[in-house]
Amino acid sequence: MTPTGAPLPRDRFARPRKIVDRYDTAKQEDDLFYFLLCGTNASPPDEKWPLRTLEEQYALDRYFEYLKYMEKHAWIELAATGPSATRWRGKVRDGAHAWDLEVILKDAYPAIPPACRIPELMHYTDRKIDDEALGLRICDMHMEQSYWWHEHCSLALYLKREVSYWVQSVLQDMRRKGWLK
Amino acid sequence: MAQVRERYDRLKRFTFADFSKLAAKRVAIVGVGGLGALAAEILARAGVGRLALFDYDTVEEANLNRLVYRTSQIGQPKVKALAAHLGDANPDAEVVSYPHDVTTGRGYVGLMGELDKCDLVLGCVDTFGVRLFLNGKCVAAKIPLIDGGASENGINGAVHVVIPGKTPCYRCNRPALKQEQVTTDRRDVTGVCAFTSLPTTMAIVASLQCQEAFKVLLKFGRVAPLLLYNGLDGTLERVDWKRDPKCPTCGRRKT
Repeated sequence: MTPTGAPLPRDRFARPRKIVDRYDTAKQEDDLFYFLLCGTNASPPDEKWPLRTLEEQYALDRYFEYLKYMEKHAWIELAATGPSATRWRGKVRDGAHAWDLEVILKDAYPAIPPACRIPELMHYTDRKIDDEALGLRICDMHMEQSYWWHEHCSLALYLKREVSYWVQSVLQDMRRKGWLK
Repeated sequence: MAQVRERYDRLKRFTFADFSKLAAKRVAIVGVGGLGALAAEILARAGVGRLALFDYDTVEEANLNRLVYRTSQIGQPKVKALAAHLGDANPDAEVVSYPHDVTTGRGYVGLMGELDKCDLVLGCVDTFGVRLFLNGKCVAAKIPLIDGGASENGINGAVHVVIPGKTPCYRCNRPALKQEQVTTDRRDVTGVCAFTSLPTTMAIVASLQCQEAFKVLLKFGRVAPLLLYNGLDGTLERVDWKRDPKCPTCGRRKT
């Protein structure tokens, strides 16, 4: 009812709204990381790539902030090597140890995930040649059951969902074998 | 000339389609490993006019149990070795080789150039991401894609036929790829990803791919959108699935 008491005009075309239970759908921790998604779907050869680059950088900054202030452990740092932002270099840290990290965004990106490698930990993959540009690289989503990437995912989300787990498992294995104190 | 006529003599007796039309067809084959090398040989011998081969890998000893390569070709780029082999198998077929990665640089440019000209793309890659990439490009260019693959244990296989606008694309009906249903459990990554590769399964899947390729190129028979081969039970199942209207790649209501 309106303040004057007259009934509300009925919209002939109004349909019941679909009610979405956010708490029900947000079952996974990573669903809360929607701010690591990019809005622009553009590849490096495209005209809109600079816009995508800005979004990637924004997502990466937010992820580093999250690591620094929420997880209190900034285990990774990464920066673009040039204005095209197709090559990124940085460090992966664990205590006193640090390893170089290299990421390449190919021409087909974001249709395919980034290619990433940590040269000093490469003995953990057994594929002799996995990537033309990088040589050996991190062993990730080869099969459908482990594939989660889509065009709006960012480099930061890749670091969070793939690289972090890979590094964790490799370091755990190295500690178990006594290679890392 | 008499030899050339003799070469296709058995194909001329085929009553469902005219195989001589294959001479005017162009096919791009992405990945010439276990599947792609066999598929390329079948298509070249059947008389496909032009084949474009994409693969950045080199021939290794581990490949020799199932591929058409020879021991003397170890170390050569796969596409070069295969082009030499196909040249011997059928000199009529024009073979163009791209020893590059299709997802970047010269390989990407080469693939985009071939997509404008070719009639069909055969996806014989081992990476799920590249399958989706090829699917997206083929749907956008409205070129049929026939993707083949074998399971991790090497005994099962699947062939997807993607005819843009008609059959479901590679991304349709894959709930695992929907954003809401992404599983993000911490995976136990052991760092080892060497899959089994059985020569028989590879040959079966490559043959199924080529059979569907002939049906698409020569327009005969009923194309199977999805063929599932189970090697343990010895069954071949045809799945007539439907397109997803909300598919991000081919749907009318893209999300």
